[in-house]
Amino acid sequence: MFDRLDPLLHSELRLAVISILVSADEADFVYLRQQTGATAGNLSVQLDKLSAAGYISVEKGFQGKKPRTTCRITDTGRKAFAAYVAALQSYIGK
Amino acid sequence: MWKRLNSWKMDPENKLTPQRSLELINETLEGNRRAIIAGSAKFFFLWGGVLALFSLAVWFCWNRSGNPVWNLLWLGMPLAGYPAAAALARGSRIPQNYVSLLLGKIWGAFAFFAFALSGLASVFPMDLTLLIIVLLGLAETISGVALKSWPIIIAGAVVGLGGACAASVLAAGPAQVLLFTGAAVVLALTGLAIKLQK
Repeated sequence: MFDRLDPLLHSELRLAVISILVSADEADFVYLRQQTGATAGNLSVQLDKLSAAGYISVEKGFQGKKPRTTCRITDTGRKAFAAYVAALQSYIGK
Repeated sequence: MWKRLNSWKMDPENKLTPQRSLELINETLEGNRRAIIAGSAKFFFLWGGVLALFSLAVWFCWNRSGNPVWNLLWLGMPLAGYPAAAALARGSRIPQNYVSLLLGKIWGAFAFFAFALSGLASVFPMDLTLLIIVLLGLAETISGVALKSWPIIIAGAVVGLGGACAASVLAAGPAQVLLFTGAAVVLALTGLAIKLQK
């Protein structure tokens, strides 16, 4: 029996974002864009989806005079990622 | 490998295979690790520069006056280095993770031991240069292990072991301070190696 893969994480960009956040305390929007190679608009939409699901928290603030959007993974997101990896392993192992 | 990830046109709704998902996770984690290593280069430059500046200042003043009291100038090193390092960290977009936090603790422990030993040396005579240069090399090697970076591991071994041998050969005095200038050059070269590796 294969475990169900979380559809929210089973997409390249959202999976890349959550993988970065799972290994970092926090990451800002520009860093996420640089690391994923995504466009700002696309990344913004995907961050909203992850945020709406409670997987990440998004905080808008300023660094000096420049606006800065910071993302953090939540406990829900961490658990969802762990479950997703476990589900992947059930596919790979069979 | 990471360049390949960046070059993809990421379609958010693209359906992945389980195999590809695991590869993507691995590549993302590896890319993050590389970004953090690259981000550490400027701190090696900074501390290499600060160490070179203070070691040359101590050497120059001690050599000219013949008075070891000029070693007190070392106290200015954290006062100059930490605010600069904090400013660099604030301006960086590289995220913090457990490795970067560990690096901070490694170098914090080094600073604590270096200054504690300097204080204790006034009561219990010891070869301070040898001890501190070994600690410096050890801190750099452990940093290299944490970052899985061979240039840093090798540079740490060169500083620690080479410095220990040189400190044993050189007579106590201002000339020994120049060992720290050499260590500073290795620190800066480590930063350069990291940059080139990137």
